[in-house]
Amino acid sequence: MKPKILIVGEDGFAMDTGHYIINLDYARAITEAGGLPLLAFDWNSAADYAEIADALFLTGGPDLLCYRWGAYYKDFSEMPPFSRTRDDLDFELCDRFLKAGKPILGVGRGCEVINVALGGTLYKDIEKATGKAHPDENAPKGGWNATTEQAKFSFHSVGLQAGTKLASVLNAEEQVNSCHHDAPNALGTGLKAAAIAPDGIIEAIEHESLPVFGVMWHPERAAGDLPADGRIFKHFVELCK
Amino acid sequence: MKKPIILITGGRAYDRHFHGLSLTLNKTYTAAVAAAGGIPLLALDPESYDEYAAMADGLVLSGSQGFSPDPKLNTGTEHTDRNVDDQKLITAFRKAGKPIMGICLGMQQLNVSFGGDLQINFKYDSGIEHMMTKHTIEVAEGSILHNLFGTGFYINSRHNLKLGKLADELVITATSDNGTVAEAIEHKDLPIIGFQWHPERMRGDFPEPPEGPDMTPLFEHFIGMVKDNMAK
Repeated sequence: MKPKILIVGEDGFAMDTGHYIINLDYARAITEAGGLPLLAFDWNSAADYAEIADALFLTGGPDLLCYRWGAYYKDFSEMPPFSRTRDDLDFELCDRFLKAGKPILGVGRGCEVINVALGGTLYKDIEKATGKAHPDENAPKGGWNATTEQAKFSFHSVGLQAGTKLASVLNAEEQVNSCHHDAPNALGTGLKAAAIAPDGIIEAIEHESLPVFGVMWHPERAAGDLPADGRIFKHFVELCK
Repeated sequence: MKKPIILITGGRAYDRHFHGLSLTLNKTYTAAVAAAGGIPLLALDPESYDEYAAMADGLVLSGSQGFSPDPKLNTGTEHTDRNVDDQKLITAFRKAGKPIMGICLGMQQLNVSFGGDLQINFKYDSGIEHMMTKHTIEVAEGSILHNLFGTGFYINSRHNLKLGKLADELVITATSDNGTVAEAIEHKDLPIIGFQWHPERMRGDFPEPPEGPDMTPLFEHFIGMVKDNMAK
């Protein structure tokens, strides 16, 4: 039996009844790494999910509401698009899989969930907090509406930190895609930085003793000239065996 | 007894960035399954049907979902692969002897799986409109529906296809429009049921239509079928 990987997807309200939706890139990455992907929906089933599944994959998505790490918004202009119901499901599942000692992988928003669940904090907006654009002011900022594939993404390098498990999976320096404006600030209990961008932003975290780690870039996604990267997912599925 | 794991199928759609193909499911399906005592999970890999059939205790085939807020992108979201995926899952669950509930497109898929066929756009031949409306049905005595809800009642209606030739192993247990449209089916021997309307929308604060019965007992009945099958 393949390891059963529970994925948490987007939580939307566009249809009359609300809907769940998951980009198939995430599912494909898990399948190609040898796992069986399953989408979780139901907050009330969190305990059952933690028992059934072998690992948890927290995916990208909208910003976390900053109340989760004890911050606040000065006014509505600071409020990002958010989903309170998805925050609830992500944190409930993250807590339960942490307690069960089962592997957790976070990508983008998922990396932030792991950090906040363990008591860490985030920059709500890197540029406002540090005065510097991330990755830098020359990078394309077309976002999802850009007309060319290349312009949709920003790119930068990350340096893997010696002695981390992630450094044994990736090269000492990697080129990664970048589409986030928030990032880990103070690290949660038991977490250490596993990769750092040239501007000092923490780009990957991992737990000192638990099989728990997260990256701020999107390895499941082919972006511009960078192909999707299966190494992180192979490592993740291996952790379940 | 362990809570039954209910696998649900999704439909293809674009994600909110219109970046890539995604799978989506209305929250009504998962709410109905969870409220009835099942653990809802969505199948994400079209090639792992045998593994899904091994790990899950029952299958709910959802209606068609093709959705995008941008109509220009809607072309192709309800991918023809969907039909192949659903058929592979039905075959795998039939082989594993596990219960199946088909809703709307799901009921039509069940009829096809057992050798029946479908009639497309029947409204042009018959003048009967069954898309985004409501109407009553006539229920056969002795059926699951009759035991739960009685002889006839209002349902929602959201389909352009209807069953054509009925598969030999299936029985029609409810009809509308003087018996011309099949509205519910049961398998003669296996724990397999199907409904042409959306019972998962006939629950909660805003049931569709408000005249109809609360369909929570139907999902509880299906979870009961799954539990009986697990106890075998």
